[in-house]
This record gives sequence, structure tokens and C-alpha cells, in this order.
Amino acid sequence: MISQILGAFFAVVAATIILESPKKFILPAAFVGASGWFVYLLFLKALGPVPATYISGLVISTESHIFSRIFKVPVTIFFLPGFFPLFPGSGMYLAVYEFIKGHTALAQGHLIITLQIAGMIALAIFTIDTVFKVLKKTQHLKDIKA
Amino acid sequence: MDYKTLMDVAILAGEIMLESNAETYRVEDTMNHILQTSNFETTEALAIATGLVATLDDPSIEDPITIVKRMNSIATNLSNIAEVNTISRQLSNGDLDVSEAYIALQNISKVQYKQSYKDIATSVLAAAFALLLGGGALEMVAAGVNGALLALVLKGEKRLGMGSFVRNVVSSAVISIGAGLMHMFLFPTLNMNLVITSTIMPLVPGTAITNAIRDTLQGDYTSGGAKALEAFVVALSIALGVAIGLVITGGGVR
Repeated sequence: MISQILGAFFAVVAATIILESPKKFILPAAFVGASGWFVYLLFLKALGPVPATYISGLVISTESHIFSRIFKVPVTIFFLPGFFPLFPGSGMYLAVYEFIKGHTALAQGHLIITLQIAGMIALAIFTIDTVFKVLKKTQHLKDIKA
Repeated sequence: MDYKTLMDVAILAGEIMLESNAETYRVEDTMNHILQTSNFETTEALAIATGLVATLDDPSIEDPITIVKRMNSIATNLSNIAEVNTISRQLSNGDLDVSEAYIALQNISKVQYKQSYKDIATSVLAAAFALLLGGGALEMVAAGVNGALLALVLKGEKRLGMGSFVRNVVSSAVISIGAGLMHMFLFPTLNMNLVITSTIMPLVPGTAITNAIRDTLQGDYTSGGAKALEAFVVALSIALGVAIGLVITGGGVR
């Protein structure tokens, strides 16, 4: 498991270079990605890939929002590389693989899981974006009262 | 108030952000912030996936001005997004004046890492994904080699400029053929599925998926829909390429 988390760390470092991320945010982004993958692996056995993706997505989005507020940069800088390990490349490939082998039912299963994982990433981003928007609004209202 | 330069600043900022693949609502937000520093009656900015429009009007100026800008190439560049964001903040705070902001925007370095670093990063990304997905040393080496192959194909394609669909089909076909050949001739114990999965990761439309989600949830359905379609087409082209490669090497049918 430690080697897999290390893999996630280096994968995100490589992703930041491909996405032209500013140099000083490479390590925070890699931390976001690695911790997200750690959470995913933690919940994978007990809950299966789809809920594990959601929980991991929540962690990644929360960390990205916190880092973006600490460093005062757009949240995308941590979002895009951080979510890299979660993207359902493997499900996509397996769907094609089984389809070529003639196992249509298995291929459909992989396709559905792939779509569900993409949906869970969306839902996780949506959840945390909304939470932070509400936090910002309440802070704003407090400021107006004070 | 030098409102013409202000307009140029807003358009340039929006252009850089949109070209760097920022979310559309962020582009509009930034442009609006910049335009509003004029305190004019009408300030409006509109960004869609392929271009932007901005307009300024006030009783104090003779004619309203509107600028339309069409965008052709989009390549993700997070550092440009961060820099434009900082400049627009400084402009709204009054730390920079309009002409200083314009110069600062023009000086944004377009490329941060050399192309060779990015090629290496593609290879490292594939190798790291082999590790991430639970592969051993053998898979890492194979994915690394395969990733280098991918970088090579992408480099070659850049010269030809065949468009993203053909590029993805060709490169993912090459990847799966490469993995199949390594499996057949070099390492018979290789987990071929894992190697192919790791090497397609640099092509997987992660940026498009994330941006599509965030744009759609902001109510920006035009851009969200366009990016979702982009993600879907890219995924389809990768699948097609992998299928071609598998059929050619016979890796799938055996």
C-alpha cells in the first residue's frame, strides 16, 4: 500500500509538470493526490470502487479548497493534478478489453462502473464546492453585520 | 481613466486564462473584476469555450466599446491561471495601475518547463501509475518505456497536426501494440492490462471532466456541455485506439 501511495505521489508530480503547474505548488498538489489515493485504498476493500471514489473525492476537494485559501491561488491548481489518480482510465480500458474478447456483459459492467466513478468525482466536487460556497456566504454575512 | 487600456487588460487576461484551460466562470469573473475597476455604468464580460466578448459603456465616454476575441488553441497551463489571478487581484486592490497590469500580463511566461521535461514527465507518469495501480518493478519499467513511446508519438504528431481525435487514436493504438509486443517477446509474465491502463493515463481527459463538472454546476451549460462532449470524444478515441492495438497484436482475442 505504501508503494501505491508513493506511486500516486510521483504520478501527481508528473501530472503537475504536464499541466504547467507553478513550481512552488508541485509538492502541495502531490500531497493532495497521494492522500486522496490513500483514502481511496483505505475504503476500497470495504465499500468497493464507487463509494471509495466519492469519499476520496471529498478529501481531495476539501484539501484543494483549503490549500487554495492558504496560498491565495485558484483552486484548479490543486484540483486538476490531485484528481488524476482517481480518473477511471482502468475501467475504460477493461471495458474495451472485454468487448474485444467478446465478453459483452463484462464490458458493460466495466463501462457502467466507469460512468459511476466519473459521476462520483462530479458529486464529490459538487458537495465540497457547495460547502465552501456556503461558508463563504455566511462569512460575508457576518462581515456585513460586524 | 484610460478605459481603452483597461479593456485591453481585461481581454488579454481573459484570453490567457481561456487558453490555459481555466473554468469559464473563472474567466468571466476575472474579466468582470477588471472591468469594474473603471466604475462605469455598463461592464459586461462573456466567455464561452471558444471565445470571449467584453463591453464597456458610460455617459462619460463618447462611444461604447466592445471587443470580441476568438480562441483557437487551448493547452492547460495552471501557472498562467495563477498569475493572471494574482494580477487581477492586485489591480482591484489598487496595487497595480492599468498600464502596469497590462505590461505584467504581457510578461507572463507562456511556458515554464522545457518540452523535454514534459516528455520525461509523460514517461514518469506512466511508470508511477503502474506503481499506483499495484504493479511490480517489471510493470513499472514496461510502462515507463511505453510512456516514452507515447511521448515520442505525441511529439511526432505535433509536427503533422492531425487534430486531437486522430492523435489519440494513433497514440493509444501504439501504446497497446507496444505493451502487446513487450508481453509477447520480452516479458512473458508481464501484466499487460496494467501496463496499457497506466500508459493511457496521460491521455485520459481528466481536465475536461473536472472543468465540465465545475462549469455545469456554476450554471454555465454551454461551456460545461462543450467540455463534457470533449471528454466523451477523447474517451471514445482512446477506446478506439486501444481496440485497434489489441486486435493487431492479438492480445485481446487469445
